[in-house]
Amino acid sequence: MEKAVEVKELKKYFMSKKKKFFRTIEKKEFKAVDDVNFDIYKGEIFGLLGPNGAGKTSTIKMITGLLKPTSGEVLVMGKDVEKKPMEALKNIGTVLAGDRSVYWKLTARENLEYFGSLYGLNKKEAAQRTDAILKRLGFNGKEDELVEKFSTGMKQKVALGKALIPNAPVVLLDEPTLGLDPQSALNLREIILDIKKEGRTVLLTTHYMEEADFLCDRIAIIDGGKIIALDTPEKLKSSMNDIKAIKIDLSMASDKLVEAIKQMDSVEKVIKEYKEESRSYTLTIHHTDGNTIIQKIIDSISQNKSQILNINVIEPSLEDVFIHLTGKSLRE
Amino acid sequence: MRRLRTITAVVKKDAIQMVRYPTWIIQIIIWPLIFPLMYILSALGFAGPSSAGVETFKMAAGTGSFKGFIVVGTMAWMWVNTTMWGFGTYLREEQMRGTLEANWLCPIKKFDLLIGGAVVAMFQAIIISAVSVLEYRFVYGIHFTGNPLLWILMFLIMIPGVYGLGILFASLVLWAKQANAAVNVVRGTMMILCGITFPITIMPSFMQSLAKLIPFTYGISATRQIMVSGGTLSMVSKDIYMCLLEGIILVILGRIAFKYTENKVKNLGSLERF
Repeated sequence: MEKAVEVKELKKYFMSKKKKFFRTIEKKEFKAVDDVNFDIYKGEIFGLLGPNGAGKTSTIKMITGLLKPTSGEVLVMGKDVEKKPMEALKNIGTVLAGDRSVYWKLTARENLEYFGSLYGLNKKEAAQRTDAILKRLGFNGKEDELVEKFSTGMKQKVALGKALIPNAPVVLLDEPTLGLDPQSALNLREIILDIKKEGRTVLLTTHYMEEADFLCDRIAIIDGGKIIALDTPEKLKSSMNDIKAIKIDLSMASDKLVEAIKQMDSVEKVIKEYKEESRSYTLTIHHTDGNTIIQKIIDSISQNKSQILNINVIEPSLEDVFIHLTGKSLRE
Repeated sequence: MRRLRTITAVVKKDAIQMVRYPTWIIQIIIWPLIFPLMYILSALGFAGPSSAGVETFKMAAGTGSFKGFIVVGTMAWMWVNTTMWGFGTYLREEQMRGTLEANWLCPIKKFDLLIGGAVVAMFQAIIISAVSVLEYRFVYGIHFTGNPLLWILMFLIMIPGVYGLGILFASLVLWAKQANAAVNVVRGTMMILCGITFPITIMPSFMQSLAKLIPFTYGISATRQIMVSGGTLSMVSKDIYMCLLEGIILVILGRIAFKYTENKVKNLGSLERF
C-alpha cells in the first residue's frame, strides 16, 4: 500500500525551567513525543487518539510543520516537512482550532477564496473551487453572509471548506465535530466519509470514541508521548476478549471505595468520572471474572454508604480499549 | 508571482475587514486635528503674550512658523507610527483572533503576510497624511512650501526605516506575545528623540547622538525643510541619504530577527499561544 504520511522515530523534547528571581534553578526535560512511528496509507481515515497531554497535538504540529522535532522525520506524500516545508504543506489541507481558524468578519465565500489564494490558486480557480465546495458543504444561500452570523456547525463547515480548498491529497482534521449538535456532527461525518471516497487520506483526531469507531480505518492510541496501540477499531476491540466491563452510576464514589474495588481479584482497571450535569459519579470497571464479581462490588458500595443509580454490564467498546490501555478516560 | 498573489490576498482580506470595522474613519478625521493641538497650545503659552519666545524658537529651529514646525513633525510621525506598528499589531490581531496558525499552515513565505498587513496600514497612513494636509491648511491656516511631489518623496524615504523597525517589532510580538508595553516604551522614546514637536538641538548632546541613530530624525528634518522652510532637494540630500541608509540597515536587522524568531517559535510550538 502506498503511504501518504510517514512518521519516523519522531521525538520532541521540551526543556522546562524552574526560575527564582529570573535565575534558572532547575532544568527538567519533558518528553512530549518519544520515538513515535506510524504510516498512514493513501485513501484511509486514520485516527490519532490520546488523552490531554499525551503528545497528540505535538505530533500533529510536527506533521504540519508548526513544530520542529528534536529528531526524526515526517514525510507527507514523500516530501520532508522539515527540509521541504512549502512542498509538503501543499499536500495538506487542515482544520486546526476549528471555527476560530476562519475570519468571522468575512463571508464564507471570502474566507475560502482568501485561503485559495494562499494555496496559489489564481482568482478564477479560487472562485470556481470555492463555488464547488460551498455547494458540496450545503451552505444553501448563506455563502455570502458574514461568518460571525453563523452557528457553530456552520462555522465549522467553513473551517472544513478551508481544509478542502487546496484539493490536497491529505486532509488533517483536528476535532472537527467539537461542540457541534448531533445533527451537524452527523452531517460533517458524512462529508468526511465522502472525502475518503474521493481517494484522499484523512488524519483525524477526536474526543468522541463512537466517531473514531464509525469513521476510522485504523486508530493509533498515544499516551505519554508513545504509540501504545495501533490497529483497526475491530482488532483493538477484540484485543479486549477476556476483559469485561461494568459501568455503575453512583451518588458518590470515595477514593476508599475505588481502592476497595481495585483490590478485588480479577479487577484490572477502575476509572472514576464525575458527571457535572447529574452530579453523580460513574465507575467503569474492567475485570476478567464472570458475573460473580457484581455482587462483591454491590456489597462494597453498600459498605461505603453510596447509592447505585444505574448499573450496566457492557460489551467492551473502543472507549474501554482506551481506558484499558491508558488508564484514563479520553475526556480527561 | 506567487508571492505577489499572497500579498494581494492579504491586502484584500484586510481591506474588507477594515471597511467592516468602520471606527478607523473617525480616527483618520479627528486624530490629525487633535494630535498637534496640545503642542501648539503649549507653544503659544510658552511664547508669552507678545510672542517674544518665537524669536528664540526661530534661532533653534530655523523657522519662525512654530505651528508649521509642529504640524509637519506630527504629520510625519503619524505616517511613521501608523505604518510601523502595522506589522506587529497585524500578527498580534491574527494571534488573538486564532487565525495566525491557519495562515502559517499555508505554503507561503510567512514574511509576505507581514508585508500584506503593512500595505493596508500604509494605505491608512496615506489617507491620514492627505487629510492632515487639508486640515492643517484650512483649519490651522498653515502655508506649506515646496512641491507636493517633494512632500510625497519625503514620506517615501522613511519607508525603509518604517519597515525595518516594524519587522523588528513584529518579531518581538511573535516572541513575547505582548505588544502594548513595547509599543508604549518605543513610541514614547522615539517621539522624544526624533523631535517631532521641538528642534533636537535643544536636547542634551547624548540624546542628540541617540537621535541620529533613528532614520526618522533625518526624515522629519528633511520634511520640515521642504514643507515649512521652502528648502530644495539638494539642501536636504544629506538627510535623505542618512534616512535611507539607516532604514536599510534596520530592514536587514529586521529580516534577521524575524527569521530567528520564526525558528524559535517553531522550536517551542508557541505560535498560537497568547
